[in-house]
Amino acid sequence: MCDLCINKKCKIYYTDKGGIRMATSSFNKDFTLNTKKAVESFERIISTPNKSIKIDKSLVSAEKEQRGEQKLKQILSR
Amino acid sequence: MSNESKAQELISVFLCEKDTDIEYFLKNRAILFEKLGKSRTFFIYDEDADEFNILAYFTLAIQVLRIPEEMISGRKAKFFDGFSSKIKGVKITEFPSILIGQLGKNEMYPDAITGTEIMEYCLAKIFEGQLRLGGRIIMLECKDISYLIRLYEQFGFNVLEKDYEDGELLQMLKILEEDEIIESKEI
Repeated sequence: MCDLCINKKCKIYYTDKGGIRMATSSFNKDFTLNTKKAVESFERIISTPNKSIKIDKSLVSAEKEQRGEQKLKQILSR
Repeated sequence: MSNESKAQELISVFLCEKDTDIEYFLKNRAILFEKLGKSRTFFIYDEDADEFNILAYFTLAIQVLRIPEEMISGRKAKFFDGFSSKIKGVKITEFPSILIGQLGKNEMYPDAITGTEIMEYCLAKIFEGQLRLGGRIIMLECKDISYLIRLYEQFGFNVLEKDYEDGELLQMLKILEEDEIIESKEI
């Protein structure tokens, strides 16, 4: 739960600047399937997974990541 | 200027007016969560540009999907776990998951990258981690907007059907298939 939250049940947090923003909630959320409908849906999802676009795993190769880090270091050292 | 201040400066040019939470998280939480080990944030940048222009980012974290014990039979617990219904005699009610906590495009460069491309980078990164640590459930939350749902469905996500409150984010789940879990390589 965000430290800026004014109410544990609310979904809108107030920033220190007075504006409102949506919750950054997924990270601290309790993902409990507490209804029959949700559990049955989960069961269906496991039983019949959707086909996915094939992912090119080399998109995030170690070499690419190293190049990115180098570039970032160069920029940070300016 | 410290590296953290410089990093803060780099991310200060990230703009996402469509969803201010995406922008807020990057500018106010990403570094803190990185330090705490709560999540990992990844930037997608343009290799050919002279500057380090962040085109998009995504943030991953570990999450747990829970089902109250009274709502899950032994048979279902085994089915959901994939191997066993109990650990040391106690029914399994928690299922480790990988959470895509944030995923957003920098509106400063709206045509530089598509949502599909961001998802491809994001899932490639997840597969990299999954290869080392295991796990077979990926989850995310998204606004109830048809093009967003379609985007995630293309990557094998399904909306979890339940009674959502007005304005509540939809939960979407993807179960990794065998060919995504096991990498086949010729040796």
